[in-house]
Amino acid sequence: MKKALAITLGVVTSIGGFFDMGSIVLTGQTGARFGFSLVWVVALATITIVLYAEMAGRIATLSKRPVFDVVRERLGPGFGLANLGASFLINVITLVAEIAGVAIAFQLVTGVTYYLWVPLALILAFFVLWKVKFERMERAVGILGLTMLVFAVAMWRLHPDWSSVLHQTLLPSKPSSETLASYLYVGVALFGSAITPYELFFYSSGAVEEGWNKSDLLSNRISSYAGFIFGAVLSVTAIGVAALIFQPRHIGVHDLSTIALGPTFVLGKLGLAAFLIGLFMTTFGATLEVTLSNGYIVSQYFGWPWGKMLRPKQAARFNLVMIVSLLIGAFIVLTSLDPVAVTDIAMVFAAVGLPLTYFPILVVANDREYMGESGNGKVLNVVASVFLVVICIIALAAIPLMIWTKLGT
Amino acid sequence: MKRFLASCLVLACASCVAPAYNDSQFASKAAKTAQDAASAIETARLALQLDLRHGLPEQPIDSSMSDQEDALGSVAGTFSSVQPPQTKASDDLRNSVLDLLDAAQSHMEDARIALRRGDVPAALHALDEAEPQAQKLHAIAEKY
Repeated sequence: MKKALAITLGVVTSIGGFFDMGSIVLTGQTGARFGFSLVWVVALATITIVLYAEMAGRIATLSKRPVFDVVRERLGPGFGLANLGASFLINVITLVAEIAGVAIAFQLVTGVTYYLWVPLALILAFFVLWKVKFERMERAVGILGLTMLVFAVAMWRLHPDWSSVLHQTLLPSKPSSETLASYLYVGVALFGSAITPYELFFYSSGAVEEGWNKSDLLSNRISSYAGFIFGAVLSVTAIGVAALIFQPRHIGVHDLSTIALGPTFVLGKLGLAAFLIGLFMTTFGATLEVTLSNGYIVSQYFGWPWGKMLRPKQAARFNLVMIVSLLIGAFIVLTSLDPVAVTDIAMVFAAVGLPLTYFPILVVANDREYMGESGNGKVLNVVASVFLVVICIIALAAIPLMIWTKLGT
Repeated sequence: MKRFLASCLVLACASCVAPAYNDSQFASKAAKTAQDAASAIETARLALQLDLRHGLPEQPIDSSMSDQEDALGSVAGTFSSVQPPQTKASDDLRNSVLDLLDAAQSHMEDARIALRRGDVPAALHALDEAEPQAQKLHAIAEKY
């Protein structure tokens, strides 16, 4: 029973991590501009994150050390430092988007400009990070984040022409009004939004914090497989709602208030309320996860004591990194940069930095010194290598596409 | 090279609004402007239609209207600051897009005022009157 509960919680947590500000914005934009023709990107991203999250969880479970720690030891301090710099930067940009998402959720409820809600978002994050237990935090965020299932309900209630949906999904072609470069650029950003590196740092460090052992390997597999696949279903249905409601009306998605109209269109007040709760919980959950992720990677690289379960006094530098990350993120939000544009850019940079996180995981997952008999099998290695090549291609193409398409416009 | 450097300088001086060197470039900017403006009008209309249908809380709809009004103002401001090439075609296109944007902005303001007075039908009526502009803007976006 306890194990079943642990698996359920793992699944719920994975959903929270998969569907955040980046996914909410990108799926809305994708559906409105490209209909169902980029759903294959979500499928590609889901397989990638499922494979690598399972590996990251397995590494953490067997070595009792989080991925970043093992990577530094296995691949050397130079590579570790490059990875740390890139990951920290990507996390900070992601954090900007997530904090903005929390503040905009408050704005949509109260009508008061989101700038004024940034301090409250920070205070809430500080409070939860320092006062709420890890497990309770995961449960609350994950369970309330499930209100995002409103997209699945809305899509089902829209009664789409399923044969047309399947056709567009399985035989994708870009709309004639869009260029191939824009199509690929949005695809890259969508890919980045689904598999942002912080998810893996948080997942593996969380496994160590919760003291997973060999008997948790099955839970790890089920959590990562079911959770991320369920998260992918949310992404696909969010694309579907935008494709069915916004695309025929030639509505582009440039803000969260537009995305809120999708569930509202189908379910009225209930849809709006579910979306707003889901928006708050998923972006707030991601704010916590990204902040912790920054604390984890910096502390793990420098060998400082770390962990949410430690008292702040026992892990002062870990907590200091989190405070600094939150303050930098909040400061950038307050500079009045467009949060949606920041989210788009964050997701592209996330895509650029992917190989730095994913390549070492594959290397360490094959290291018998750490993994013993539970290292990767041949089939898994072949499949994971193919996806690593895809990740590298996407990472190389991201910046040129961003410049070529002028941020996808 | 000189042209590239000049472009960079102009971009820096003109808050990142690049000039258009020929009709095609200008038409492309006009099309993007028209597309974004039509989208803002249609989004605001959809928000008001849903408000009327479901009796939604005031704040999210007000936020949505503000977002769309800001978006419309922003695309109009950006487009009006683009330096067009010295041709009649571009001047004509510029004038027609700016006229449509002016009219749309005016309807959007009327809608916002009516909405904040609690008169959702009047707000929707104001945006229904912007529908011809939205369609013409959409046609421009499609054409170019």
